[in-house]
Amino acid sequence: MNATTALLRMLVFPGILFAAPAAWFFLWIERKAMAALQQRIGPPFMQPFFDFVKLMGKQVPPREGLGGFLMKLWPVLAVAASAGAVGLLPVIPRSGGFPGDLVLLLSLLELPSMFIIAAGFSSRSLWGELGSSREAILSVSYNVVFLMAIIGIAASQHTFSLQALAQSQGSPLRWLGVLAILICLPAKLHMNPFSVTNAEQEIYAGPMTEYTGHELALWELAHGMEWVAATGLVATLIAPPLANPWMAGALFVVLSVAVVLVLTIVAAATARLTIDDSVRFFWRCALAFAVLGVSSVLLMRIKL
Amino acid sequence: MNILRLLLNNFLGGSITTRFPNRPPADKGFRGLVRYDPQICTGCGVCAYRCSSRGISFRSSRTAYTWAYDPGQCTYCGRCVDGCEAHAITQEAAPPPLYYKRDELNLAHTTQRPLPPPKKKPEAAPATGEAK
Ligand code: SF4
Ligand code: SF4
Repeated sequence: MNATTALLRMLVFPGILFAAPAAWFFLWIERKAMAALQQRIGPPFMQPFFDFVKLMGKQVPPREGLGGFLMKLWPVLAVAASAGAVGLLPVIPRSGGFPGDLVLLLSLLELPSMFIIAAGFSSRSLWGELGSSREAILSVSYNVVFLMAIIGIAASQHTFSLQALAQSQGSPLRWLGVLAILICLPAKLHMNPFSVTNAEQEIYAGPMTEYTGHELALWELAHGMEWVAATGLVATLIAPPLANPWMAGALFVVLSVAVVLVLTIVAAATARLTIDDSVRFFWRCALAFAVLGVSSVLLMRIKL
Repeated sequence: MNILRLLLNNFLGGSITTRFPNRPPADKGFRGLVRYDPQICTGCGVCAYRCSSRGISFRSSRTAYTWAYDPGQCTYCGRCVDGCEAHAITQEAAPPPLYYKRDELNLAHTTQRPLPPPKKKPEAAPATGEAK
């Protein structure tokens, strides 16, 4: 992948130009599905886009000094990081990629969470700081499971390239990893039952409490793109390799939407866990998956 | 797993909300727009005094008084209606209509106060003394 194709992938397909509409589409699916499960009619199709446009037109209170500058900076960086993450996804097979892009994808997926933590503290709002410290504690916990799952999958298939992972066949360890990733996604996307970070009705909007106008619009966009990147990663891992690029692209979208639906059902069916319970849950998960992972590796060794 | 059954029933049951501007029919006793009858109003100004959200304003002078209503400020609490001894104001039993321009539903009505009966000229005091 040279610089031009990298830029094209980041800015056009599957980067920003594709990722922004995809983000709004995924946000709409999530909201609509949640509404359907709660006997509500839900938002119209274009609503996430309208929300974005409306927020873009709103006035932002003047923010002074370094704190104000940082508050403006974080949402821009979050959008850039999540657009970069979407840009790396192998939506269409053999569209490029480089060895080790999985590692870059992981770090780009991690960055928005860091920026959220930083944003909450920069805003100096009590609720922001509370939300940020919750996010920090939670991300330390779920990332153990998340990274273990990804490393387990990559090691079992002997590659850190997304393209190669998409092309390779599934294995029990890979399915175990996908399950672990799915368990982490609600925490990554701030969904129930792991929505302590921006626990609405409790700490307002957590780190986002002080945000409004175009800054909040950018946060929403970054959040939508995180959805695309995270569900896309799962879709990459579970999609069977297909030769036809159109079929592969369509399957990718269908699987991503299916993941969104599964996460929404989980969110609708559960209540918010406290931070202690969430952390305890993820550390227990980490233990369970570590035991399962190590034993399956041992079993594979014995079989070989 | 009760919750999953509940979600499934919710999903199959269809939505119970409707999309704006469709609205469910108003119940009996619904408190909508405030309506004013200048024929009955006595111009006491109690309604404006009772309205804590400045939905009603009342300006009065010696010769006329103006009753004005701004639905954009009104919270439809009904305190003005309760307080009007003359029963000159009522509330519609339907949700307010949609409006797209600011102050489109505002009302104002000016009533001339009845002229006070002309003062009788004090009668000329009876002459008490005799001119000398
Ligand atoms: S309280 Fe009734 S009578 Fe008095 S000014 Fe208001 S509407 Fe008129
Ligand atoms: S209904 Fe309540 S808010 Fe509206 S005008 Fe009357 S007193 Fe004011």
